Amino acid sequence: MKRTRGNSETEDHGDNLFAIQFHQQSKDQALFATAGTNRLSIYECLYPTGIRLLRMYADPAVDECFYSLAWSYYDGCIPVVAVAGKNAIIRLIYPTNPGYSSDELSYTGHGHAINHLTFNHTKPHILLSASKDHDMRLWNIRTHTCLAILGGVEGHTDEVLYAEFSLDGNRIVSCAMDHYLKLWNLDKPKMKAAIENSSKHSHKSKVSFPVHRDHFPVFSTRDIHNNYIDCVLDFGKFIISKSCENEVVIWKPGPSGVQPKSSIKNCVTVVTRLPVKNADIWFLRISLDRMKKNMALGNLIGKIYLWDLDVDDHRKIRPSILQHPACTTAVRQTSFSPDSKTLVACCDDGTVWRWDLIQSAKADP
Amino acid sequence: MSQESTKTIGKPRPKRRKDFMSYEYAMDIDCDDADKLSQMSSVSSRDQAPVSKSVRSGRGGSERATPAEKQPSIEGLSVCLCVYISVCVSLYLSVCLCVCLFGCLSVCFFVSVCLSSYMSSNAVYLYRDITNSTRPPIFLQRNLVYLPQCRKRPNNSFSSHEAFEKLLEKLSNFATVSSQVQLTLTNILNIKFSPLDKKEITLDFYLLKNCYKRRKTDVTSIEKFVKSITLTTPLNMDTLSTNSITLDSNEISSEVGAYHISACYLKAKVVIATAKKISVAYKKPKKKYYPEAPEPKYQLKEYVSTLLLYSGGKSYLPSGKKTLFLQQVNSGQSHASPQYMDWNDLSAAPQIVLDVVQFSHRRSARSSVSPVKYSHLTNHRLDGPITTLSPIAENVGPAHQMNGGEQLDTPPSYSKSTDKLYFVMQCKGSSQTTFQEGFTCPFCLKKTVPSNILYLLKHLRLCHNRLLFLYKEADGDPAIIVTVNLYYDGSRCGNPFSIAPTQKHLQTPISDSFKRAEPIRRTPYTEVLNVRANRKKMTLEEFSRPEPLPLISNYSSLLGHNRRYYHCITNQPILSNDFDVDSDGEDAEWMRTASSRLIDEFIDVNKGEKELMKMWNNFISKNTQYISDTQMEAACLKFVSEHSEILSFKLRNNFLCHLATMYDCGVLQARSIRNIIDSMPKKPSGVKSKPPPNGGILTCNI
Repeated sequence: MKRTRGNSETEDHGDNLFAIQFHQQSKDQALFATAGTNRLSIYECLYPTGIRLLRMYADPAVDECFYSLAWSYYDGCIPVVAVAGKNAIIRLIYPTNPGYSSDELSYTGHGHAINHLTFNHTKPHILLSASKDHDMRLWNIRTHTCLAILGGVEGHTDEVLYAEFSLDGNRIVSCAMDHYLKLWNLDKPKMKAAIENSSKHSHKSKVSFPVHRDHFPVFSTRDIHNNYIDCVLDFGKFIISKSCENEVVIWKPGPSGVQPKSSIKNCVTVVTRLPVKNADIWFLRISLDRMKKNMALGNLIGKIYLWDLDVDDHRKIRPSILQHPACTTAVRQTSFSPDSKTLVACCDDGTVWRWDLIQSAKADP
Repeated sequence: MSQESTKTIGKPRPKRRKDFMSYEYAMDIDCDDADKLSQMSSVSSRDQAPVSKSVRSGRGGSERATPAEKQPSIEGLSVCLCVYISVCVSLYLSVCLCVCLFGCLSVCFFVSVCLSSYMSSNAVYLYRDITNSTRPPIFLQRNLVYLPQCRKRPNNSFSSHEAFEKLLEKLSNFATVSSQVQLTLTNILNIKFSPLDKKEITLDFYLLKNCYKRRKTDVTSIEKFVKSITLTTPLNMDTLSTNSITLDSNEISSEVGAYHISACYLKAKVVIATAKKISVAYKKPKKKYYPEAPEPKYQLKEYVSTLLLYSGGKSYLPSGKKTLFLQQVNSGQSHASPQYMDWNDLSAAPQIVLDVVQFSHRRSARSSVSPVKYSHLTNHRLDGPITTLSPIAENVGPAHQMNGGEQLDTPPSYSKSTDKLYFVMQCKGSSQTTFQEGFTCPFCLKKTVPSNILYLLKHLRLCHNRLLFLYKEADGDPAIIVTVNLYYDGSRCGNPFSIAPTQKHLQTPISDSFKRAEPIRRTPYTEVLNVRANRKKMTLEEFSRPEPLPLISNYSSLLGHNRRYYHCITNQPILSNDFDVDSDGEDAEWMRTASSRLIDEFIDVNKGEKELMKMWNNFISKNTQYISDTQMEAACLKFVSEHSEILSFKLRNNFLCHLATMYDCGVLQARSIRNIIDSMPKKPSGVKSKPPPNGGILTCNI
């Protein structure tokens, strides 16, 4: 598979862009957003080529630095972007309905910077935030409540850097600076009740929502990596994680062939380790496409590793490398378009890169 | 950013990762960026305590200085200048706000003045100039004791006959005076004229009145158009001064037909053709307003501004220069509601400068035309600023000597003092000196009527609590040193009971005291309503000493307050109905879960023992009343009664073992053990033959 560079766009602040995300549920427009410094930019990906800036939002605090953003949709079709960063305020922005955005749509509560945001795939109103205060929080963006806090006694003991929902939305996998990878179960009766009740909660009652606190993950390990773990992705039975060790690890909890149980502790099966060059800084994020067939990861010198995961044998997973002479700074995050034909990447120098799949090249073996 | 620096900063695991403590207080903020301040307040109100912001080691360059260019703020977080009314409105050129850091139970207030914002004082003055007409300062009676001439009600009694005479005199005086206001156009600023435009500019002035009619309970209000004046002036600024409008005061305040007048405006409208080509969708504006429409090739820009002349029985047009700030109106909508502009943008806004001159005509015997204070024409009050023309001044005489007959004497320094006055604003080691003539309060434009620095100082100290004032003489001229009152207690700003959220979608409700949009009144709070204490004579020495700082004990606690409390675990604000819930409950479920998990990790203890240990631990953690050894018997009896079913067959022996251990430790006596065993349910006869299902029975060897 080959990809060609479409074009690049430089944001005028010239500062780090930490996050880039495609709106995966959009039907007519290919929207993506980038976040860095105190800006959030909404772009439209034009076909066959071109990027168009639709909107740009700036946080009034100039010392704000957005680290993460996540797309979801509201009322069935209205896209919503959640963005958060250093100042620990989650802001919700409705790019197509600017009237929705107002002062109240910002959530505070985290005690420190927010490192990652993601939405539940099955319940698009449930937002998960991972923070430097060692905790994760679940928010309901319909009723604007913080419904649960994940972390505590057996939670992470350092900055949580990344967290992601599983495909069925019943599990959270998280990773942190304490080298731990943890699995959290949302199927526990109290957690289930909290998620359901949060949708019924109304602020008119003037009573705070009773926030559920889960201290106990169902699984936790620090056997995979020996350094900060800055990205972890749910890949069905397996989990893909990355530390700043020049490799991406595909593994699964528990011994080989057995479903993970809470009783099995510290037992992991590593499926494969994919080597990467020049990726030994943290805060580089892997991205998967919607069908979980392609995986992309940028490195420190501006190259993007692209793996095709749709293979019979894990030993056949070979990377193809996307590079461009002008792209020389760290690629913090990449994102696939919903049809996975376009890949966008954001770099430390404020550039946004677009890579398109060449249709004819796909026929090549 | 260079690649190398990324490498160095972004090293994967900085072993000596050091958190640089950088407390962010309002003192460090550039105050002229109001947006930032508002953000600051929102951030700090979130933080439970001053949170240390540590430098992020991994994300290179995230801490560097951010570009200075301004961006449109998202989500309307823009709250403009925070101005505060304590007892009077004190709009201060550069006092910017307090940022409130909220702790769970404590409130810290920081007030800051930044010199950088002194620089933009002009803009603040302009803002004040505009808002003064719509939000006049509020002065309470009791604060004007030191200004004897400004008191509105003389406290001494006088006979009704005298009062009637005064009234007659005043009415007759009023009837004989009519006045004219002449508005002369002197300058037009910040409007870009296209070279293709005509050499002349047309200004339309409309005199509008807001009228209302009350019929029984219905109140109908309309806007009445009185008259329009068109000025055509050449663009050459030198000749602009020939244009003027003259308005009669009767015209302004007279009633229209059966309607009462509530306000009178002068609306100015300028239409300018700019060279930019118009779009296809352009609609021709209403013909009524454009008798001579410019060529449609050019885009028309319409600027509108309103000047309040009269409202609620008061006139708002003092003599002097008046600047009208023009706002652009979309050509589609002819009547755009005038909005308050942000004070930051004022200096760049298009402006019309008008020179206001007032003439009064006395229709009495002495029919000479002389300038007169305009306030006399409309202020139907017994007081009013003292002028030589007014006979009311004599009436104030007795009032001047109230307060137990002691007069506020002027010290000898008054006689030699001139009208010159220096204000020295000090902040963070730097200072700025401003010079002014006349004793007008620069913060609220309150004029001390007998031009005496004492009255001004008294006013400053009483009405501008956020600042500290100190009198000094610098080179023979009086100077007032202004510093920030760091101990200012702003906790009672706004309504104490407005803590409850009122807006929809309220995640973080903001009570009145933290709204930065407009000045708010302080909660009236009085312990003793009136004391006629013997007042000391005012001397300059009093003001040469620093102000005594208010003691916190002076305030008795109010029933309501504006403090925001937060739940200690979730950091969410405590809502109004939450106050009875203890979010810091000690009966934490996680503690029991954690302890049972730890017990599970024992390897030298069997299952039955583990079970009993968990049950006992749970029991003791829930029943906190058992604290001493002598209570152990009661505790065991209750434990037995609660868990009778399980103890009856499964864990009976384990429990007996537990009792024996307690006996060994000297906690239980043999008699107590007997009592407890007696209270335990008897073993069911059927179980005797079978081993318990769990098999977790430990034989007891005592």
